[in-house]
Amino acid sequence: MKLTVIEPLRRGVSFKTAWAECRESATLLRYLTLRDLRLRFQDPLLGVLWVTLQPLLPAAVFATIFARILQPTTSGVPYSLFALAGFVPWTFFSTSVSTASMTFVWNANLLNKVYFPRAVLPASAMLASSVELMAGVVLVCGYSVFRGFPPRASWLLLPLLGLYVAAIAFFVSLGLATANALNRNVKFAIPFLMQVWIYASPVVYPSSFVPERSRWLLGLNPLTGALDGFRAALFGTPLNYRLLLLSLASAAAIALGSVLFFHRYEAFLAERA
Amino acid sequence: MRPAIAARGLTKQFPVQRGWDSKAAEFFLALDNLSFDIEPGQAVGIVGSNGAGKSTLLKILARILPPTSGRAELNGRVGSLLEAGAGFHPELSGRDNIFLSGAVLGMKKNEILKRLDEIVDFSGVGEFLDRPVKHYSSGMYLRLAFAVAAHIEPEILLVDELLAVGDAQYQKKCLQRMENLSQNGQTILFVSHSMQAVARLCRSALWIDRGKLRMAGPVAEVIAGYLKEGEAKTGERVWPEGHHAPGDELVRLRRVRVANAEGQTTSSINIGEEFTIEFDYDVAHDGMVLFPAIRLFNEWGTEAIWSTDSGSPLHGKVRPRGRYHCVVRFPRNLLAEGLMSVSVSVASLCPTRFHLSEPEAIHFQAIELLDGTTARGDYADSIGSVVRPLLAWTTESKPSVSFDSFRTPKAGIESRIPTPESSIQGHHDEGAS
Repeated sequence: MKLTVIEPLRRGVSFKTAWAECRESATLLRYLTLRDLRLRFQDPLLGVLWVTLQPLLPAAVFATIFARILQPTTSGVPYSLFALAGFVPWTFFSTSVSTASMTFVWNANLLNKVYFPRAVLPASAMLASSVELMAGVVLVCGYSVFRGFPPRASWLLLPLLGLYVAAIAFFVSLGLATANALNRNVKFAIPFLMQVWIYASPVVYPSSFVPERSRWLLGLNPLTGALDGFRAALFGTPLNYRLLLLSLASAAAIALGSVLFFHRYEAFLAERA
Repeated sequence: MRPAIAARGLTKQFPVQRGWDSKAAEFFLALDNLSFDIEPGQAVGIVGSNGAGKSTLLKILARILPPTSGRAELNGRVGSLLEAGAGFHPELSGRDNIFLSGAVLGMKKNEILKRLDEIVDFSGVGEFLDRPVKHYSSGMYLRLAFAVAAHIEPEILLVDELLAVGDAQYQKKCLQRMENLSQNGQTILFVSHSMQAVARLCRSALWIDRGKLRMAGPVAEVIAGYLKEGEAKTGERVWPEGHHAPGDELVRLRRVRVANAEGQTTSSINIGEEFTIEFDYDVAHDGMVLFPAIRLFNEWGTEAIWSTDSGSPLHGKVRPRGRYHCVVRFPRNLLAEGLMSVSVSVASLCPTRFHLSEPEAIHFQAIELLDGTTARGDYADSIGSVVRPLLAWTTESKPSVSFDSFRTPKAGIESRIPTPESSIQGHHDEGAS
């Protein structure tokens, strides 16, 4: 028979128990994600339109303005295609982080009524917005063929890169959502953080645009590896492997910090959210 | 056998925020060193006034809140029903919400699929199943929400105030379902403000008072103890000398109280026992014929009892100046359970003039302990009658009857159904001989 022990939690339950419970809540994750998708595509036409416009619009704006002012070198890729390949992962990242990081606060009532592994909430929000990423990848592949960059073997790596972006989005949201529940003022910082983050990532410019000396700073951003990787896989542009490894390492550090922070405060979320 | 729930020294502190800029250094002790054991298969009620810590206790056992200190062990799968409709989304259909809410309550997909028909049947939403729940009536919404909740089958079920919402039908269904669960051997911890519900569902109860365990034991004793203390303060009203007391220049009311069979002031009486309503009034002048009367109204405002001192030697006589003390004795098994209000009046006739008329002089709670000795017997459902006297019944039964009259006759065809051979075996009659 299952034994549940309830004790004061100073360091959270053991990671083993926490992990086992997360695995048991697959059903919940599934239905929460389905709920978000259902609500989003209640009007399927508008839903799809919205999902495709989200990366298209900013890409178009940047292609007409930014490209003319700064004229970044994009290794022979037309700037509009280059920008779209940046905005597809970016819009997914930014929308999923902005929604997932609010989940504990939005579901405070649920947290106070039922016990379930709390990480399910940001995870389902992230999963639900991952349709944006999938739609975006299809869009950018189509546009790529249209602009004369035919499919290549490295396109097979795109799902892997998608998983990587999704993982970063989840871990960043997990930490932010916890911080949000503990202190309400965090939510005001999130749009600001996103505004800074987009310019700190090679979304509208290639990482080669940053001077050689300070380029390692870009590597502290876990998205750098994802964005550079996306373009390398799509167009076969050269990839800076040192930057990629640095970016992966910083992603791992963020994930670890986020999980530890969440785990430390998970038990108190109901009280504080 | 190991207890299903063993709590040792459970304590919970909440920080108290005094103002905008105070550092929260003060704590409110919501639970104070609570220890108890609950045996498997028992349904245990938790009673206590608002803010006593009942819900905090359930939340700690459900792992929603961590305790500040202490420890509890729960043996078995735990399910909690702290709110009907946890996880419901108004835009989604009833069907989608069943899956969502089921998953929130810890059910696996195949468990939900297995019970889907049962849940739909139980909820009675019928053709509305695929409509968004925002179009449901509130009663329908609650029934669906409860239907999902009622079909989780944990070994330990924690239930909080489900009955506070919903109509009588809903409450009846809730209680019946929980009775079934408890008969199936589930351990149930049940918080409710309805003493009727606690008495009906549970054999034993815990009384929590300001975070501490005041009493644990058989349900009737705990409820009686809780009600006695909670209500004793308001079981009596006194108006000191002066002109603010109800009445006019001739008659003034001084005191009203409700007393139990032992003569103690109380505002909760057991309908299976005798009780008295007593009141004092002053008469300022000699020479008037006065008729004191009391009336009892139930919580819907229906007048259940009217009574005057028709049997007393003073009845219809001139009452000289002085203080009068009336004691009205009520026999056992007269009132129905519920909140009663008492009105007191003193009138003179020809012409009728009310010198004193105090409509809600005092309230008291009439409670019924479901021990089978009242007029209710073992019938556990709600009863609408205003009074509940214990009447003498005699019933006879015969061993065989024709069932013809049970059948709606079909036009022109005379049909007979064979008498079931073993449908009624014995002959029994009650009381009559």
